[in-house]
Amino acid sequence: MKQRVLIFFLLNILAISCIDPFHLELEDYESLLVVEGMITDEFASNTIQLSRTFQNENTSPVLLEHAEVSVRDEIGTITVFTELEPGIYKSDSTQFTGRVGGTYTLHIKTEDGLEYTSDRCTMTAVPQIDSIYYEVDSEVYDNGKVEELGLRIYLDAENQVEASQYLRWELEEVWKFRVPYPVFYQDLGYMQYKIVPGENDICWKYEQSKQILIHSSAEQSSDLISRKPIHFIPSGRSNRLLKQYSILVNQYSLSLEEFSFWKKLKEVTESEGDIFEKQPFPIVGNISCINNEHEKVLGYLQVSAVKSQRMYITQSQVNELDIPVYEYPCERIIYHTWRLYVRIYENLLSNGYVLFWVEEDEFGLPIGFQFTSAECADCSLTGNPEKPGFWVDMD
Amino acid sequence: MVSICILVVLCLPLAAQKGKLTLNLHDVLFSELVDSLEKKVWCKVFYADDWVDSFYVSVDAEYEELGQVMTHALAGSGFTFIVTGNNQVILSEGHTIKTNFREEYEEYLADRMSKLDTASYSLSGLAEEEENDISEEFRLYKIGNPAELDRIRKVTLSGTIQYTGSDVPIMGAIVYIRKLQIGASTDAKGNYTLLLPRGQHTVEFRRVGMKSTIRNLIVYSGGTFNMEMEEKINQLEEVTVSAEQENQVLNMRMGTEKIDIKMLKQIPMGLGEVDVIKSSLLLPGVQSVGEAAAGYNVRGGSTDQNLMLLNDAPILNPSHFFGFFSTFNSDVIGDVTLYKSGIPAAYGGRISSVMDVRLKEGNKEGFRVSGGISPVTAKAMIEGPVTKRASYIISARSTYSSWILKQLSDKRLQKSKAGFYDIQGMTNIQINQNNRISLSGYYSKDKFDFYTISAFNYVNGAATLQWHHDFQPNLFADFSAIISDYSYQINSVENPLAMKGMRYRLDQRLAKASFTYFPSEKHKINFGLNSTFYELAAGEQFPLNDSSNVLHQKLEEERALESSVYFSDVFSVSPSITISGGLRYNIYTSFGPGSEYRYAENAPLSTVSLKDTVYYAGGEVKSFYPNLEFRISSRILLGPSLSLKVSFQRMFQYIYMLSNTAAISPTDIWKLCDNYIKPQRGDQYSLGIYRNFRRNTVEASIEGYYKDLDNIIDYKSGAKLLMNEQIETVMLNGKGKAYGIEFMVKKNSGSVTGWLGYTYARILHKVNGEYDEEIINNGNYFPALYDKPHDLKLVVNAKLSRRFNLTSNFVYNTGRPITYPVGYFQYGGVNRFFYSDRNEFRVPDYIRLDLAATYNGNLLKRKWIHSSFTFAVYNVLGRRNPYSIYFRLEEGVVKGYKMSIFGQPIFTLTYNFKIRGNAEDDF
Repeated sequence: MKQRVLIFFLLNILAISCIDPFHLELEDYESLLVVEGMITDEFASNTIQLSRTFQNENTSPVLLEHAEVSVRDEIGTITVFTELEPGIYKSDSTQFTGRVGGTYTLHIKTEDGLEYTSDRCTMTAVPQIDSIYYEVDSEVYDNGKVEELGLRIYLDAENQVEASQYLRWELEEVWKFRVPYPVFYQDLGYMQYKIVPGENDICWKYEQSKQILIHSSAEQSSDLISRKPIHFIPSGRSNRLLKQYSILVNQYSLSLEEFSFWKKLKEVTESEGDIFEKQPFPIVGNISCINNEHEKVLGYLQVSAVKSQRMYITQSQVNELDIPVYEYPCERIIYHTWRLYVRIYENLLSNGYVLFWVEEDEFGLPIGFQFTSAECADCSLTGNPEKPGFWVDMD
Repeated sequence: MVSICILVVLCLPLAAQKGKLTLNLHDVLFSELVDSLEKKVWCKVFYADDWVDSFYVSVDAEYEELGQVMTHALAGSGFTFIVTGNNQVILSEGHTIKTNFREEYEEYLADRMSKLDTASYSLSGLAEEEENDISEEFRLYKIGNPAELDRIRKVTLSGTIQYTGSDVPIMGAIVYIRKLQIGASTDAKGNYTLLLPRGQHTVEFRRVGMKSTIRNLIVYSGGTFNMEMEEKINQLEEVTVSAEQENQVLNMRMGTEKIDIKMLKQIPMGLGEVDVIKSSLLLPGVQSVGEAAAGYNVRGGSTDQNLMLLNDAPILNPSHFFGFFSTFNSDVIGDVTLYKSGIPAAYGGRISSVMDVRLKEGNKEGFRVSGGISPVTAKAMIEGPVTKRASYIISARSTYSSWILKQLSDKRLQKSKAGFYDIQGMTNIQINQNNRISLSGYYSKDKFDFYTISAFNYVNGAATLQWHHDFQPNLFADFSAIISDYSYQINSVENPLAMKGMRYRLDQRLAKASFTYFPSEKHKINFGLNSTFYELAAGEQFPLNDSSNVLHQKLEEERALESSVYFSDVFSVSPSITISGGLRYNIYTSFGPGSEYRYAENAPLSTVSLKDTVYYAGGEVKSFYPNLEFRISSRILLGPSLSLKVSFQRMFQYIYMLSNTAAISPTDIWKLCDNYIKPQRGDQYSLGIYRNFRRNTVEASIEGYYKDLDNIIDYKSGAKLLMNEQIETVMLNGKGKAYGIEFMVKKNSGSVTGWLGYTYARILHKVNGEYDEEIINNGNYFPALYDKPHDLKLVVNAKLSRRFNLTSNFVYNTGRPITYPVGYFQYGGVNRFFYSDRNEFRVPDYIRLDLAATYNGNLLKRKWIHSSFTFAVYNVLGRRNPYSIYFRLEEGVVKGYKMSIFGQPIFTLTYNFKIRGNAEDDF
């Protein structure tokens, strides 16, 4: 990490290096089985997804249907996972949940008779999340050209004996937002309109972290996790902090083997290129084929205990801080009635603009029409108008 | 004897046309002047073509006689002439041909008589000097004791060659006896040794840039003959001729490049910094890892298989800015030799190549200052005498690049700092005729502070103390004591609770004794002892402040001793066959205190299979490897300018650089061999044909080689190399083979010089262990990271005038192999890509053209300050040569990038100056 950053920095000093986009075209494609499964100690059904690798990024993976999937624990109890959706196999939460100290092995038999098994994975305990909090910080964007202020989210975890030294976090962000130009006057065609009660102005947006976030306390003098930066929100670049923001942090315990799997996956797929670029390498998971020991299988049977915590950040909390406020890149087109012809009106609408406001004179006659782009008027195009079940409005 | 070379052609019976002539010529070749003279006046000029190869003259004659014209034209050239009665002009070098001996003698006698008459018994000092000057080449010098006449037939003649009137030795001067076709060249200290039969000999002394001269010796028995040679200051155009005028057809060397510093100094490198090490990568068989990257690959060897010596001290990371510059300041480098094959038995410890860099000795005549300023660095050098017998030279260089950071748009860089400096120096003391001592030192440091995230520094330091002693004229020795240390530290300061530092250090202590002995004319024997003690602190991680909860960890220190004894003999079997054989016996021992891990059998080495720890007490032997190395080469003359050479060498290496990057990165760690990591072995077979054309001015060669490598290292997927206690669990063992053929044509003299080299070479590795995780590419041979089959290099240096020089070089090679994704898979809700076989794909070809023009101020000999400006363009074509192609996930989307380091032409202007020196050395 350090040296990567350093060399990047050097190349920039001299301002001579160039980085051009390069289109990835796969010549030798290998079709392999991909197993993504997780057994947790949560009272919820566990999911194993079976798919195959694919050649074109824009297509979605081929899911592997009609396989027999089961998990065996250390005393020999076998739990069968049933295929509820194509390629997605689930356990019955009333029948089976993982427990700390339990050892699990996955067994898969495909339609064409190939059998796969995982290594034995033992669930380690996970420490409690002590607190999640934020502070104003900055980060650079656009190859270092812009420095943005925002909120950095930190995590403290308890120092718990017996708990795993290796942790992984998944973040789920949900935020409430309001479009700048909700529709109060709806278009009826031919410059006719009606007044509507400003629907679809407030929505919730959901996003799951895509970056691999892992931590090892192995090189620490204590297992205490303090001020671990887990996320950064550039307040001027996103509408996350305008209304109310929520982040759910799921903390998973990992075995050393699973930790090194994630670490390698991160190294291979998320690293920056530089002149000290490391050799990319194939990532070996913990699944192997019984019939053919040389067949490569991607993926990992993850076995983790989990602890979660949610934090809200409200508009009033944000207002107390001296950080930039996001401005929607929304255009407002205003036409006075005497200058607006039907052709222009229709043209605007067919180019994705929507009518949202009509200025009327004292007699209720239109004197001005206001248009904006659709996503600035209708929040359901970028979010979900339905309030999530857990959501609590704080302000 | 110089006059031998004169074309003495009998006079043509021509009618003397005693006319006056008018002639205006400027900066024309001497031959053109001759043409016009011969046309205008009925005369004939006699001279040897090679004297005036690129000799320019100017003439402004208004109604002058032929003699006057010639006097003007040849003024200060070192040539003299006479005009005979029938209008023949005969040129001679050094002294005037006399045709009027009788008259002169009579005059001389008359003069003597008259002086006697006036009762003056001494000649004036001036007159005596003149007399000596003339007579030195004709005087007979007696060497040795005539009484020993009948005892031995062959005797040793040795001596030192120095600059006239100073103690500065002349390196690379040739001492040659034409009749016997035997000769020798002087070493870095100006010493030569020649084995010759008793009797009278005419010995020639020549060197580029010096006036050639002869001495007549009567050798009765072994003895010493010291010479002083004068600089040929006026003949600047000859400086581009290789300093090593040895004939490639006749010498024993194979796969060896003696690098001409003056030529390399003309070659433009990125950022306007003359870089001898980087320029030497333009030779065939040598490939740079990549632009601005430290390290180079020689004939399929990895970067850690090259031994880099600075005055005998091994330097591990001679680079600044992670490889943008090499740390050796070219101003103080006197000599660079790169051995690719036929490595002499005196060298060992690395299996691919040896780059032997020697510092220049300080000027003994007077104090000199020189320096230079480029966009990124400034440097200065001083040299001068201490006493009559001692001199010093010191150079320093630093960067002022931090101001550039402040100008950049990147916010992180504005808050960052970067810097480096280096110092090199040497002092030489001549104690007496038989003893000399030199002390040289080297120190370089790089420091970076990046934003608020990390800080980094690395340091190289070395010192060499050397004593040269002559036991007998045919037996002499060098004794050296050397220290060389390398260390670095990385501080990570991003998170106050996880602030940590990491330190690494490798110290080397060396003792060397090397002897050279000439028992007879047919043998040259070298033998000696080398011993290197390694002390390695492989890593220490520590918290940087009190609030940091980073664990203090320290890897055990490692100690090892590598000792070698060697013997080699160059033996002339017959005039056309010479054989050189050498043996080198190494004993490598690693010592306690320290522990060693034991692993379960029938399982791959891993932290899981770790069973036991064995502790070794201090001084107890941990591992022991004795190995015998062979060095055999032979030269067979097939004709006067055609030879065939064959060689075989076996070498061992006991120290590895662990790195899973292509370039040398400053965080690479060096590791000593132990019971798990075994010594590397490299065998090389090579065969070459050498042919010279056009009186040795054009050299052509073809060399082929095959290499067999054993115990090469590789790493398991995602290996952690830093701070790893059980490093053997992430390492893999493999084999390698490399083969190639190198073609080279080189022109050494004239106004246009340069070379063209083409190489076809492959390097393949094979890692086929017992277990799945120990197999790469199904256990088949795969191209190594630096396998670049086609490689073409063209270097042209054109001396357009005495003050204007143009250099260009062109480089083409196949792109390096990279590992390419073979498919996508969905994991964690994101499309990711995966890799399979290693190095199956290549980045596009590499093509680059550079140009540099150097303009010198006037070249007056006696001038207070000499300056020159070099304008260079690196990558004129602006081609975006990809250094690497890589893929990463950004916001869940796969993005591919192609990175080029110098993706556009880089223009630089460099100013160099030299105070109180002579321009000849540099320009």
